[in-house]
Amino acid sequence: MTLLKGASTAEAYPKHRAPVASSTRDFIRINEVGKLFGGRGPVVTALQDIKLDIGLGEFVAVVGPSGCGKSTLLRILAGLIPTSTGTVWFGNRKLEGPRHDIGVVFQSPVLFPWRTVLDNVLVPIDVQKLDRKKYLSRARELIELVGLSEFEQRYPAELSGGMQQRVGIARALVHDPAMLLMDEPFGALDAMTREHMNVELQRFWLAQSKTILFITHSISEAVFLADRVVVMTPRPGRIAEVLDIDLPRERTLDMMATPPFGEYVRRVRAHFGTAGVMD
Amino acid sequence: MPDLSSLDTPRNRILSILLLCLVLVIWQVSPALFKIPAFILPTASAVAEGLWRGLTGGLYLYHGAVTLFEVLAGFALGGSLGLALGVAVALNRRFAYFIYPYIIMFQSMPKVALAPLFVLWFGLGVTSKIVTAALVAFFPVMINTISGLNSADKDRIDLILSLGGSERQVFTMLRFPSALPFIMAGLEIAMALSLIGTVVTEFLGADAGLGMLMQSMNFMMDVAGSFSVLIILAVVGLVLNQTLIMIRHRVLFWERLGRVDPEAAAETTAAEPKTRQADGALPASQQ
Repeated sequence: MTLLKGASTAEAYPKHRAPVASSTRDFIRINEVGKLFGGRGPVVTALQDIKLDIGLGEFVAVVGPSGCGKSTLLRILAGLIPTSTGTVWFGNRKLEGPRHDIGVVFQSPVLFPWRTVLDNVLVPIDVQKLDRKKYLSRARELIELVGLSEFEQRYPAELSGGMQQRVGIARALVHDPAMLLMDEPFGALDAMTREHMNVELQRFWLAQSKTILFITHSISEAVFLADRVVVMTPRPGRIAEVLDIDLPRERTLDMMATPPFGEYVRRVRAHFGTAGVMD
Repeated sequence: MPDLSSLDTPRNRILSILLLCLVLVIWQVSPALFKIPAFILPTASAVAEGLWRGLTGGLYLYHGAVTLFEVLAGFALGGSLGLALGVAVALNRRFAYFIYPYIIMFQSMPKVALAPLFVLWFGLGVTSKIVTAALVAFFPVMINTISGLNSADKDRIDLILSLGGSERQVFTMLRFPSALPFIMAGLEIAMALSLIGTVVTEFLGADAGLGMLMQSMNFMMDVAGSFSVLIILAVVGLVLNQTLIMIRHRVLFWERLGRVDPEAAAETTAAEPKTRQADGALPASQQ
């Protein structure tokens, strides 16, 4: 909570943040995970030999074209579908279903149109049958943090797409999850709003020290946001490369025009041949 | 209905009233002009007279009340059964498997064709009308409840499940509210069908009700009276339909909300957050 309060002033953000040392990357261990789909039809290998360790507080982006299994990976981590092979460990506990300490942000805002902004943010509290009163002030702080205080009593239909997505982010944080799973959260936004949201998200993360797994098919978005970029290739979905992004924080949009940034983007893109593959 | 609100100017309102007068005048003079006998087409004034007599004498009030009771009782019975069975079918696959053949069989049958049987079984009183109205009201509500409950957005289901929610919570927090627009649409159809079912059954045999009244007027060649009962029936249908539309707007308040202007929001939210429900279109909210 203290972190949250500090976050409302820009001065409180740490300017630089050391990358998580590889020895402490044991918050989440994805161990040789594979996923097969197919009931009656032919079996499709959605994921194969996924091995990835994520450290506490680390920002990991997964980038890849459609069909590379990145959303499947997220659904596995959210506990929505089981793995076919391999296991996922949270700390020293095996993942065996949805966990209460994970927040998911979906590609669409996934708000409930009959609930106000405040009531939407409180959905996790209602689902987990926690005390609404205890979380009310936290919900209000999060709404303020995403800049929607004036819209607390409004309904989703009254907000723009970008505002709705910010409600979705506040909601994912309200039950104070240890980890955020974000599935192309800004994919439906226009380019300008998207860049703005990327800057905002980085601020949250610097202030909140959440572990974030961020799925995207935008290479520059991944490089801009992440400590590490996981590059995935399709059919079957597997990890082609894991890239450490050694750019200083807080990153700015101007940085996207610098040679080191361009070099990272080039290295990721090299995995996909022509540029067209990503869209 | 297309949105005609932009045409609703004072000038057009006057024109609309003039048009109504013209129609009434043509109606009034054409029986004499074209030599149509009164038992085929009565004049407008004769119908108005019949309406006045029926209303002041309390005749239409009594029979109208009987019909209204039958419609509402049948609607409530059929509607609630349709809702309950729809929920059961949507929630229980095994139940759905065994009940579906019967639903499809009944669905393809013209339900009012059962009305003569119901009169035979349940007599000339209100019961046979209520049963017919309930039967015709039942299907649209049930069918719409099923498709409504299955319409819940996949991502929203995933959201609740990813938070550790149960299927029961998915139902109460998501599936049921998602189904409400469908259920309300089903209820509107059910209401219209209930009225039809009731009147048709009254035609077949009844000791009271607007349908029975109209039938006996026809036998007595009182066509002006029949026309006036038709007007009463139209008013009853209109009132029932408008009531349901009003209820729908209350229940599904979120369907009529429009994008709000950030600055307008800042002013109104603090002062009176209730206004947003009253009118969806806030100033400067829609370009």
